[in-house]
Amino acid sequence: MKLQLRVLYREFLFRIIDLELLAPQGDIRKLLGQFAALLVLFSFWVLLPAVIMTDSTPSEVGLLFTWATEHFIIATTMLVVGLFAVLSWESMFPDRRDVMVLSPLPLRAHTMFLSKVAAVATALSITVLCLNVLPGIVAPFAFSAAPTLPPPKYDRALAPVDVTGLQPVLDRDMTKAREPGSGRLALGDDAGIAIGVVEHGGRRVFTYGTAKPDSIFEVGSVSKTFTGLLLAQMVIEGKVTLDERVRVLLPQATVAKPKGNEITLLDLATQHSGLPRMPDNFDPVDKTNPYADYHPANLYAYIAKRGVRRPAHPSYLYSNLGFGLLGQALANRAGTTYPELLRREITGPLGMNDTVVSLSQEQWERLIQGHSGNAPHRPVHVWDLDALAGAGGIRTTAGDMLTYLEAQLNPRKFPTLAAALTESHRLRADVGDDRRIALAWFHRANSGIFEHSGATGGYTSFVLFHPQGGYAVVVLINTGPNLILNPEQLGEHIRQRLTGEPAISLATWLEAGRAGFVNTLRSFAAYWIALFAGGAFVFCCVLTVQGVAQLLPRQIFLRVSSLLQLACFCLLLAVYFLQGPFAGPGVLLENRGLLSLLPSYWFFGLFQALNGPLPFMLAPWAQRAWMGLAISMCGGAGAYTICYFRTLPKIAEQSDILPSARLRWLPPFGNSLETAVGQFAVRTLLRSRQHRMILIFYLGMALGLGIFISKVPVFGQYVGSAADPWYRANVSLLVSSILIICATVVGTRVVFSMPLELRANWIFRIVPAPGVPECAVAARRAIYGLAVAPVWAAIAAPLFILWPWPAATAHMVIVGLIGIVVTELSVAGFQKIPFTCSYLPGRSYFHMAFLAFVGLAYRLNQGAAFERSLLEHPLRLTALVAVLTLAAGAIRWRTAVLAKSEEATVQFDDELEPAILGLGLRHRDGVLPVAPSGAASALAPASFQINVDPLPKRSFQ
Amino acid sequence: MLELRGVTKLYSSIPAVNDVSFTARAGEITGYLGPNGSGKSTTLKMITGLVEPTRGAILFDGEPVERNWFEFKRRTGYVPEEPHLYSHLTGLEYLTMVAQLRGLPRHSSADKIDGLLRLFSLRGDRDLPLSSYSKGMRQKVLLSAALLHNPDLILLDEPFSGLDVTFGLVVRSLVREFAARGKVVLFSSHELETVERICSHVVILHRGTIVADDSIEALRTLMALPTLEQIFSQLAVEQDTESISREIANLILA
Repeated sequence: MKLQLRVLYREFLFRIIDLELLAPQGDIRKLLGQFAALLVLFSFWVLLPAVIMTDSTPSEVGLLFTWATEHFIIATTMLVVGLFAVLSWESMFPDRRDVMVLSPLPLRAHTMFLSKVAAVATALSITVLCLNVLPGIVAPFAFSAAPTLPPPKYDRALAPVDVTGLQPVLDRDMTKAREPGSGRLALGDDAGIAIGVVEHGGRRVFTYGTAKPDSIFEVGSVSKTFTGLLLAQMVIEGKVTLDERVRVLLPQATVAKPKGNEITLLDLATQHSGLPRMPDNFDPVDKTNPYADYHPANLYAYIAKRGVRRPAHPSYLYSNLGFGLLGQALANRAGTTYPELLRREITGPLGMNDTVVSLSQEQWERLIQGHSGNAPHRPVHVWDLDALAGAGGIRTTAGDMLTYLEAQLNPRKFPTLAAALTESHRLRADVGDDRRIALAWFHRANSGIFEHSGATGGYTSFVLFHPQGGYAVVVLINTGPNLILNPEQLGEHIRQRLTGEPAISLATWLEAGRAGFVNTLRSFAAYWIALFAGGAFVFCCVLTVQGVAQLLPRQIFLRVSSLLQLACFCLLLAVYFLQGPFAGPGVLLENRGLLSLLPSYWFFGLFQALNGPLPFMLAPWAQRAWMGLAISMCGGAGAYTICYFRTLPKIAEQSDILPSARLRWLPPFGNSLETAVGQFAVRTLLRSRQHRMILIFYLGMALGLGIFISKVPVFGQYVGSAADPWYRANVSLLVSSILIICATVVGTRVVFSMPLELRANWIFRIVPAPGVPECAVAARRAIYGLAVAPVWAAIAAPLFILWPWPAATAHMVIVGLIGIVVTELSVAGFQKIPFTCSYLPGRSYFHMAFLAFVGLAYRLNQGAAFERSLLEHPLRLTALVAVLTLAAGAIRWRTAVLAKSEEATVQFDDELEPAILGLGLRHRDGVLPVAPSGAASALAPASFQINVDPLPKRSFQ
Repeated sequence: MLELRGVTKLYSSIPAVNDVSFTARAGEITGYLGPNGSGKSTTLKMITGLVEPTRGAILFDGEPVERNWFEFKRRTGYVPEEPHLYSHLTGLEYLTMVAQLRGLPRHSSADKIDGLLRLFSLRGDRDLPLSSYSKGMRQKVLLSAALLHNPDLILLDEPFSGLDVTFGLVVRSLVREFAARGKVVLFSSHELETVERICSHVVILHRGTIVADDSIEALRTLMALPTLEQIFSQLAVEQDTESISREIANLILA
């Protein structure tokens, strides 16, 4: 029994990967060597970041780099294990061959089964080990010494401090926060913070860093509270009503009256209009100042297209577009501009002279330079808003904001706005998280606080006021959104000091790594546990898919099996590339909802949990990782159980051959010979799993690179905005589409050269052979039918949906012509019948193909930029089309000439004729036991052959 | 008439077929015999063009075949020893492809294929991939493919391999019928009894060299042996078959 187990285990292990799929009739040992070498190469690649990462100083860059490396290692390992599982698809369960060969032997079914499971588990382990053999030793040292992000800490509670006594407390807290590297104020030397606090009439402005009391900051979305107040004031003045439809405030005939509910001003002011976060025609020319060229005309054009219909039960959806529209609509009703309306209705009456949309020269000089949120916090351009000013266009000082907040606390002190202020505080709708919304203001039910935060490219801000407590706080920072210090945390810290609660610590943000034997050991364990867990999760998921499919009738399962394999392959690649590069801890915070769908982040969280301390935002992911692992392992176990009790008996009982309706009709490919060759090519590619997989590998590479280049906007706030490249002709999609059609044509041409049942090609050689022209025609038409046409159609469909039709049409013409040119180039010199020749043992130059695609992608990027520039110039575009047409025609003419030349003969590259070193051993019949071709060669014992110098390939007529 | 003159095939200077000369005439069935590895299949492959002879000439109707390969292939039908087929194609698709490759008119070839499939009892399986066919069914497909275009020269390398008794008899009669209708039939087989029954003329090959080339009757007379089997044993079998079988049994039963 043990011997049987051992023998079967070894047998199953050696053929766990379907190497025949990658390189038909290749040398298995060589292929396994290549496979292992590829993994070790990956291992080196993975190792590099870990080696570079030697600086343990707690810094934002260090943390980002550490996390990015950890996530990269985990995600890559999961991808490789997933691809491994897909490649060993057929070998993960006992198949017909196993059953038919082993059943007659005195062997128990569970022995076979245990051997299979053990082989699969070993193969999985070997894959993970090979991939991580180098980083698995080095990286834990680096990871244990790397900075960590501990959960928030709280400073000891102090007695409530009033505004007059706040200065020393705040100074002390802020001094701690300035500690190099770890403090929350470690934003760099140019950072400036202005804090304003008003409490029971007493008001103070505290500044730190480069900020001065009169420094002007952009407040971003805090502007929405001004727009909300404008609405309330105009309601009080009787100029509008809350339930007035926004359509009537827009220029006449801007947008048609919709059927059903219409968006009202109140819907806009409470973020319940159903409008998206950003309009989809937001297309900034200057990305550093993205809102500057979005004018009312653009806004109206969007609204005209989108309409003003309101969903029957709109849910809360934060919308810059909605508030921008509200501001513009109110300005229209007032017959002025938003900045002027703001001045007239709010800032003028309140005396907030530094609160403006457009700065005067003197104010420009007081504007504090904004900096990007990501390290190294470089200076960035201000954001000038026009049509969307009501959503985020206001610049102000801490002092002016205190006036504004005082008005919120004590409306009666400001009679002209008193009613409007009160009206703007009325709570109107729920927004989740135990919060409600007034006119722009968010209200926390548990603390009774009204608040709003804001951000632009170079600034962040936060305001809160507590009507019952009689205090308000404003925090203005000249740094864009970041994880180190967000104004909400600082505002909350100040509130907690005012009320005497334990305050969120500003002293530490990052902690230095804890090198040392125990921590390194822990890191080592965490590393391997997380990787094996991630690998096992993906592997078991693939097993589960197969297990579930095995519940289908056996023959249907066989039919869908290869489709499932294909789907898993595409899914793995798509998920890996779609999740994009790790964008930093800040992005994790902002996109927790979306990222929590990605398993690589779960196991990243698991690693953090095991490596400790676990950052608070990752805690749910670590839980998900354990749950996911448990579920997938149950799935895997279930799959094997199903196989044992259900599939195994059926394998023996039923044929694997599917009596099915096959594709009997295929179009003619020209004359009789061309049709024979063409139809043979089509049928072979459609039915040969091996060739399909190789073609899909090429397609997958192109898709992966295409998606990678496209940098798909996975993060919600960019969808439909400037960063969203989908809705118009853009270089990313141009490159991707061209790359995909090129890859498909080249992949198809490559698989044409790979033989299917080489020894069956005698039939083509004993008939009056088709000539080179017929072969070229058949190959060309087969490529058109199998590659160019379907891929062209697949690309055309989304482009015509996404882009305006002229751009889509023009590009599809170009894609089609490029497809034709590449096809003609592929066919030129192809003097063979597809799938009948070019014996390629072990020559599956996938690595070279990958590098070639990377190079092509780089070049295409330049070409696509050129094409995009032409799309706007019909004449130049026509010239490009003409050039491509001429090129296609010229190459085709050359192919035809070559095919008709006297030297051109159809080649049947047989297996290489071995040059044999005569050893004086003669077969008993006097014939050497090695025949050079066909069956004899395959049957000859390898030990009799010594290949010293393969002869050149021969051609047969 | 098919004529081989001094045909030789060397693999790295070692002869697989050595100076083979014989003639297969129209209206006759020529048996081509020899032990395993004696060069029979290599000879047939040289005739079809699958293997290039090192020396010698192959003539059909007096013309060297390489002078007009196209025409020669058009007139030749070949059943190979091993049933290597494109197993992803169905029987119907395979035969259709062969008909197309041979440039047969579509309608008439479709009728012919349909008829052949029916007569060989393959009609019900015509839409199944060849990978699901039994050895005998594959052999029927090979025979159909070889005869589809009404060839003048029929090269049969172990044509009864895998066929059941009924179709073995059918094919035997079929070969006779084709010969009677003036075709040249070269028939390679180990089934000496069948060869003795249907062949008028045999060529016996041993270690790549012809050791006998005559009518069966003449050989019987010449060698004073009553059966082809005995003639063959005399000419081409070197080992004591009885002693080998005894040794094998001893080895197993030890």
